[in-house]
Amino acid sequence: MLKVENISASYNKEPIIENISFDLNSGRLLGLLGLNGVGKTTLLKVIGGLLKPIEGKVLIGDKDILLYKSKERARYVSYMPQRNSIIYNTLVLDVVLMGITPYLNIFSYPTDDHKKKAYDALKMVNMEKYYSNNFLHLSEGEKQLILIARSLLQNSQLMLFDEPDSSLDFNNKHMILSKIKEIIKEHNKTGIISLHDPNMALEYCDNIIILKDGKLHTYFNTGEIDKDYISKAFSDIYGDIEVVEYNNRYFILRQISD
Amino acid sequence: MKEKKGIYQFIIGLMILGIAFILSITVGRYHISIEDFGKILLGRQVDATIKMVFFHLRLPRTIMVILGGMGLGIAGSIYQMIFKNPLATPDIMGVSSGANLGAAIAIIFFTGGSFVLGFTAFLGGLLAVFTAIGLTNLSRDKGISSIVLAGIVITSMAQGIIMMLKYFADPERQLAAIEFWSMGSFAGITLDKLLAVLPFFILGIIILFLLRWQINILSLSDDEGRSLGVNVTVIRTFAIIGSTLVVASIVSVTGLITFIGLMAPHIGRIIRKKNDFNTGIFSGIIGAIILIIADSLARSISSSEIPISILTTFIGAPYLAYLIVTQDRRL
Repeated sequence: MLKVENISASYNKEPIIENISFDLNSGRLLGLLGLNGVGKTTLLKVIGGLLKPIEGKVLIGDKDILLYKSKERARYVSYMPQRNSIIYNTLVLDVVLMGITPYLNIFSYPTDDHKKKAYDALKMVNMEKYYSNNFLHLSEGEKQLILIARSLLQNSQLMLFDEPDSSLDFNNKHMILSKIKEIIKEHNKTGIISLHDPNMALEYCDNIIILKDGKLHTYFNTGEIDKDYISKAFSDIYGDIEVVEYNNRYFILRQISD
Repeated sequence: MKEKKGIYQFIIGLMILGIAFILSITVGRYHISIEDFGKILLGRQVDATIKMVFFHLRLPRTIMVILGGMGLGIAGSIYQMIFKNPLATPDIMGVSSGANLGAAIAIIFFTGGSFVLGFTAFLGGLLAVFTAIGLTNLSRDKGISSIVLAGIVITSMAQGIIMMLKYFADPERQLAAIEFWSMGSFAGITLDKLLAVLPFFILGIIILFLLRWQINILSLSDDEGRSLGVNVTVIRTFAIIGSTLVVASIVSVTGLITFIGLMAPHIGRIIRKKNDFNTGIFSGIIGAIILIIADSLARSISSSEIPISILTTFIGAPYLAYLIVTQDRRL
């Protein structure tokens, strides 16, 4: 469904990511891992058509993402930024309603029917009772759920999430990631999520890409690997680590040397 | 859903505006009583002078005040959305400074009749903003920070030229005229002037109305807006052009009016607890109410008229001070 071919990208002259290629099928959630500044957000922006690569192509359903008009592109790809940028009093329903924008004519306004759809999207993340609340008064975890509902209303096949758990507490991290996974599976979407915590990625993602120095270091299917593979793949970026197995799940721990 | 509450807010706002309208019609150096006003409305016979004052001075003036307050309130709320900053005003892009420069040029070089003055002020405001937009488009990122910087450059250039003009101006007549213009006044408003700026005002409002949903999305970060399929740069440019038409058409005939564009959207958002285009319109009503009260005071608290910006500043600055101590400023 998604084909990334030989992507290199930069903001100025220095390339941030180089020669990245991979495929991803629908119904799969891909986790992007790597240290700070390795280019996770840059890669997501290129895939979302928000940043033009210096080289390479991103194909969605065999068409180059840059050939879509911006409105059309937004019907294929949604992008959830690391932090939402809503600063004014806004009703929760109105925030979700923004997701209908790619389906509106430039001069038109959402209809009652759109509002109903937005309400249904809220239901999918179990937040419908907050529809007339002020978005700014919600907790960070709730805000992220509302933004997921907005992406759902946007109804794009490819859903991108840039560290959606970065400002959340332990419980909310798991809540958000399991919700994202559930949505990807239930609606047969294609999801890419950048994360910092390798254990979260191992737990929730079907595929994982590890980026190192702006390049693709490893790309694997979490269902097809063993302890040794994980240990080898991750120690290259995280250094001294130990992988433990517990209830058929793998966890990465930091080696503490004294 | 809670639509009803919103409608009540509009009805109450419009009722207060209606009362303020009647107040504005009746006060002033030439008093028009409420009975006379009623008679004019019903088409009955009234004194010819009263009729003249009503149709040629008081009514155009009051309408201009309402348009002014509405326009500045709406444009202010649009700017605060576009710049994602609750302290943004249309002045950021240099519209006021440009208009001020245009007025100064008319006063010094064309010893301007008020039409010439209005025309050059209008052109000055438009030209300043278009230059700022052009400058932004030459930048690489075309983002908000480039726009703000371009606005600062244009504003400073205009201020520099104004200072130079003031320095060479005849202090008795020209310098005084430039200073008075920058304090704003509705005293010179006539029906002709009102009709001259009305088309531009309406054109600006139509542009903003047509793009109302897209402008809403501009309050998000650029990346978020673009991921929702909005062509951020294009919509932003048109939103700026629309609000500039509105503001330039007002200040070209009234001179500078301070604080309304900052204060009204703030109050609007606090009352409505939302941020959508209707809140922008509501901010316009708030702006009109504040300005109409200020203008009525300007005409009545002393024997000669007080420039309007003196009053709006004395209302606006304490309001800001109040916000600093009491409120979350991110409303």
